[in-house]
Amino acid sequence: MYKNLKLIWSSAYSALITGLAVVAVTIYMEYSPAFKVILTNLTSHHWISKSLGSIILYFLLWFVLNKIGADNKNELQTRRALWTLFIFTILSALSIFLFFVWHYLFVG
Amino acid sequence: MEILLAKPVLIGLHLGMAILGIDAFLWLAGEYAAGAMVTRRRVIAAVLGVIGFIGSWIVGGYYYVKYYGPLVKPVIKAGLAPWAHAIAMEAKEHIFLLIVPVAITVLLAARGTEPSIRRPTMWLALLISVMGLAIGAMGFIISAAYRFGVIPAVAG
Repeated sequence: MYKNLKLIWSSAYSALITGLAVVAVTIYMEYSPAFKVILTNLTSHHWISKSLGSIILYFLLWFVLNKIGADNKNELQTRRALWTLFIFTILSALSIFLFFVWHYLFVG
Repeated sequence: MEILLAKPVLIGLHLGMAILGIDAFLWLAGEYAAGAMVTRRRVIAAVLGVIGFIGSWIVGGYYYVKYYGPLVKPVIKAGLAPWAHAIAMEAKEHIFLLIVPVAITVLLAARGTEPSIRRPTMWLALLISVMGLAIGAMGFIISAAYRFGVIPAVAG
């Protein structure tokens, strides 16, 4: 048995939260030119800032979630984390796609 | 180095690495579907997948920042299908950011032998492949919109 299920559990929730952060930042940036300027000034391009920010956030959350709480997670908790990640990844991807469809059709 | 950084080579590498990622996660899903119990093969598939998507991210990102914004985007926006940028490119560049953290999670889960995590890991591997294919389709739309965007300029 692969004992360190907590690594998988913490990675799943870190990926989930990172995905939600990507959705939030993406949508907020479309409505806040000032925020876009801040992101652009950080690294010379807003997409580079979002890319680096997302991967840093993921690893940071992974580290923190792996440190806090019980030493390990059981199979049920890990399985639930993976299914939750599955559902939220679909929802995050659909949110981004539908937002840009809506934005193009109704905002321009 | 000059050849490697040429625009067509960058696009080819971006696509090639993404195909490696898509195929590797399809392979991983197939290992689970077939009930294969060889952990080493699952880990190799997942490692190749993660390497593919990270490589595609870096190469595609370089192309996007260096060439797409100044050279391609203005042509698409002035062409027959400006929505290709407004919808396909915007969605593509942001949905891609979701993939690598999920892929790393699948890599970790692929190391596990617990029966109860096999099914969600298989579906996550399939989801990564489907997202990769959808992003590839958006890339095709963007390339086509650029090609048709330059036709009037050439003809004129």
